[in-house]
Amino acid sequence: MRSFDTFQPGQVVGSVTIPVGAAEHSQWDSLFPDTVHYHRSLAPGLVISIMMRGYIHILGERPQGNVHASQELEWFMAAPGDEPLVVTLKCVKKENKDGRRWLWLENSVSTGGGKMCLKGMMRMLWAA
Amino acid sequence: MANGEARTFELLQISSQSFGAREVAIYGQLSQDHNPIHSDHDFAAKTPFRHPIVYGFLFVMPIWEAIERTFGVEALSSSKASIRFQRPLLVGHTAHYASQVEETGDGSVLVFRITAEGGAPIAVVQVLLSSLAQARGSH
Repeated sequence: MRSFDTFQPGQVVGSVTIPVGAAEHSQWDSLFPDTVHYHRSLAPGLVISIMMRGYIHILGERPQGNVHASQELEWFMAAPGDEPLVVTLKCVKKENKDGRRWLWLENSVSTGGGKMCLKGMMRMLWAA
Repeated sequence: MANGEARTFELLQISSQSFGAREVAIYGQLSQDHNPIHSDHDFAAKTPFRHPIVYGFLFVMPIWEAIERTFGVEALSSSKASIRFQRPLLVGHTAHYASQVEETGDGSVLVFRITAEGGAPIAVVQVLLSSLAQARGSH
């Protein structure tokens, strides 16, 4: 499990390629059946879910008690519905203030061809 | 308020939405986030919340759906959002959404305030939507 001390600002923590197929579309549609998606492009929320899957895959087990305090999101283009997505996690900043361990983690989602779809910035209170 | 703005506001109303164990389980599969605080009653009972809590991203999802329904699938391209989580939503509870357009130094921003039963604030979401800027610029 990664501790706060192992994160280095500017360091890419990891990257993973995630295929998005029928299972993911079906799960999304069962969550939000009122919105019709034609699967040519992915629903924005589905892309966020994939972004989080990448985050979890890259980090593995995380300290219990982590707090996701805030989140910034920036969309660049709709993610295509027919190709894998690449999630890359980078540590942007860390700060230990009054015993609270704050991390800023950038989580980006791009196509296999390198086109940026979504970039997220998580501000986390890291528990260990 | 111009007619176009009024129409946009009306379309972006989101009805309340409940998030039970079923929705939490599906999102858990989708995101592969299996933190027991979202699904394990015994585990959650030992936390300050004493009850499983809904994934923060999950109860925000209806906002992206509403924007897509209103402005189209490309609406969020070139747009930005910020989410401030204030407190968790307990599994089985209902999230209520209130939206309005606010003027800021960066332009027109869609602001969604999400509350739990009893009006307790659980998150504020601000969306700087390029489509909104274009729509307002045309009036």
